[in-house]
Amino acid sequence: MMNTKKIYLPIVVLFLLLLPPMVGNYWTQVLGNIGIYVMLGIGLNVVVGFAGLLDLGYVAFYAIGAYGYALLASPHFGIHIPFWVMLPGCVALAAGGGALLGIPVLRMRGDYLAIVTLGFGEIIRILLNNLDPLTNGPRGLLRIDAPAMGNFVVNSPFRWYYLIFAGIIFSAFVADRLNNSRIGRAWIAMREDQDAAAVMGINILKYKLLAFTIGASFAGIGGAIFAARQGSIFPENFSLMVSINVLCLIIIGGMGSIPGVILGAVILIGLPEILRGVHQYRMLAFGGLLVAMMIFRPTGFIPSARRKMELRE
Amino acid sequence: MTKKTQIIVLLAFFCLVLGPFSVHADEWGTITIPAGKPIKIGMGTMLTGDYASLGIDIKHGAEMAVLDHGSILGHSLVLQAEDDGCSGPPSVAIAEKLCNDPSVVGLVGYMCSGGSKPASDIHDKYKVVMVSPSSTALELTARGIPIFFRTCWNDRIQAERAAAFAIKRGWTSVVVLHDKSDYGQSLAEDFGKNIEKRGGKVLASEGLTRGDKDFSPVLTKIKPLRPKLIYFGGMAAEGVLVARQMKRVGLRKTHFMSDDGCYTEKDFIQAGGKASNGCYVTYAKEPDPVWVKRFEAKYGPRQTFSPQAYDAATILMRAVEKAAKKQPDGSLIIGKKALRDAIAATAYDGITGRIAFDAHGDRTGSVVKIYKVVDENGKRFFKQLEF
Repeated sequence: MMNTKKIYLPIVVLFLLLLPPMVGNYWTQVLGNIGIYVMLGIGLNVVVGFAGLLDLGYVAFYAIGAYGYALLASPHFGIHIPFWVMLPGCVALAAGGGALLGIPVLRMRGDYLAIVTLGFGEIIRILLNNLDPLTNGPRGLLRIDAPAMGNFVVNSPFRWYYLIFAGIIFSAFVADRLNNSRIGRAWIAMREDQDAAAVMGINILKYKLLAFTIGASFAGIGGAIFAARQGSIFPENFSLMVSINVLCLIIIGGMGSIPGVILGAVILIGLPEILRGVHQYRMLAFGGLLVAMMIFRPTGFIPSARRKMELRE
Repeated sequence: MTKKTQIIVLLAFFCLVLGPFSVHADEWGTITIPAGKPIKIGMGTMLTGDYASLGIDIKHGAEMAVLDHGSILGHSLVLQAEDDGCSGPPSVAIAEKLCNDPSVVGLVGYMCSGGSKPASDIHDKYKVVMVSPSSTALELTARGIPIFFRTCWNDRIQAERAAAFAIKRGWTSVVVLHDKSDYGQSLAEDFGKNIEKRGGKVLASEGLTRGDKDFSPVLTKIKPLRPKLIYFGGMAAEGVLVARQMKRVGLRKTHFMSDDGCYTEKDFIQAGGKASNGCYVTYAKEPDPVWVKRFEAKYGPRQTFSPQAYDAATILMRAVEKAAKKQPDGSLIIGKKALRDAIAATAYDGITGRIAFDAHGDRTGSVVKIYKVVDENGKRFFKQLEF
């Protein structure tokens, strides 16, 4: 397993690095959209896949990251903090949001947890839509600064692609290390049986909080990139559908597996673009595909090794 | 010769050789359509989703214009319509797609201001012109992007006209409602400001939630204020419910007025039934009736922005005709700046009236009219009022 991974990984990375010039601006733009969802997927995967906490309000952290950057790097308040300074700032903001959500839901499980997180996601969106003096309400924030290094401005789909690519590599690396660490194993134990895990000496409160905080910080990066890349953001960009899409792509790709998240994002976000050719049947074809997928491959396309073993029994 | 003189001579030589070409070259670059290949008109509008009926209506309008126009200098025309979902991310992706397509000369769209705002940045980067039939947000023309034009009005004009009408009718105490959307809120707040400027009074201003079905709590709260008019900024889906429910909670003497979002036969008059009688909306001058007959024979009842889309596509094609230079080999060379300037210089009698643009890309002249839903001879329709 390890050996094949060692062989295919550099090939895949090299292929992805060479992809944009081959496919042109439009597809690079679409790949960028997919990339942002990959980052979100990797983050939510920590919460849902590793720690087993069903979070339906993940979009809230994405929104916090995006608005955090947009408010401090746009003409709205006339503040222009550089992207590279704001990036860790947005991560901290989103992580703070994660902790904020984590604290009240520490004692909840399963469906109840899902409902509370769902509410949290909506609260953030509604706040953004109604706090007009701060967020400019539904009119959104315009002319958000693009990241720059001296005279080199990240403003074309190509440059964004590589920036997002770097972000994914970083996120995937962190998530992978977490998964194979003491923390990751504690999460898995907690996911399988919270009480048994507690008896074995795992501090449930700490690890739950950690899962929410770490999961949220990935969305903070994604949000800052989304805001800087689109140049203008509106509360409607952070609807419940984003949370659902991210959750779907984890399930399609394979819960708990990082290659699965990437494939899931390609399918879920890329396919509607590919299906543009069939116009009004686009969403129908897409829905049909999802149904077929869940019937024939319930573990997802690339399930994590551990999950695969669990479901085979 | 010293190095310096060498360089000067070389430069002079280049200037001599390239000089005649640089006169034709366009400072924004050119679009080349090879001989025998079609010219593509891009389009971004909502084809699936909540407001798809409005979006498809826009597509039909542009499609008809392209069919009517036929061809340009021997090149056939193709309308390439993409689903912009009425929001930012898909609109930006479409902008990248169409601006990078070498046979796309310009675009009709995007449908919603929320899509036009981020997409216009991309269009500005590639200098590909866009003519929107329906994005009315003020910021679009206020931010000085040279490639943006619209055949609709901007919301400031719409709010001003509506407020002037209300004051003239003596509706000096008003309640302002909106759907908390980019479009609805800007318009409603602007309307309120205009009312106060003209000596009227805004008794309350409330935001509703898009997608809600029951607005009677808000309306019941408004009832004791006894406003003469309720102004609603938003789309027909919510507007028609406000109009129906205000009668139900007992606001019988209060008038209802809304914007172009409610100027739709299907979603406002048919959905509202009797309750839509006597409601006021603002919209452009009625389009040419001959055109409407032709359109409805082909596509069925029109919704809102198909005439604006027809004119937008026509303006774009006429400008291409003007800016394009036919080459001896049959190909076309179109300067991007020349195309933009040709649109800016438009003076054309379209089916929605005289079209010319100001320096910002806004349509000049007052094009917003007041309509009232009337029931005459068993038929309910929007009747244009003299104002």
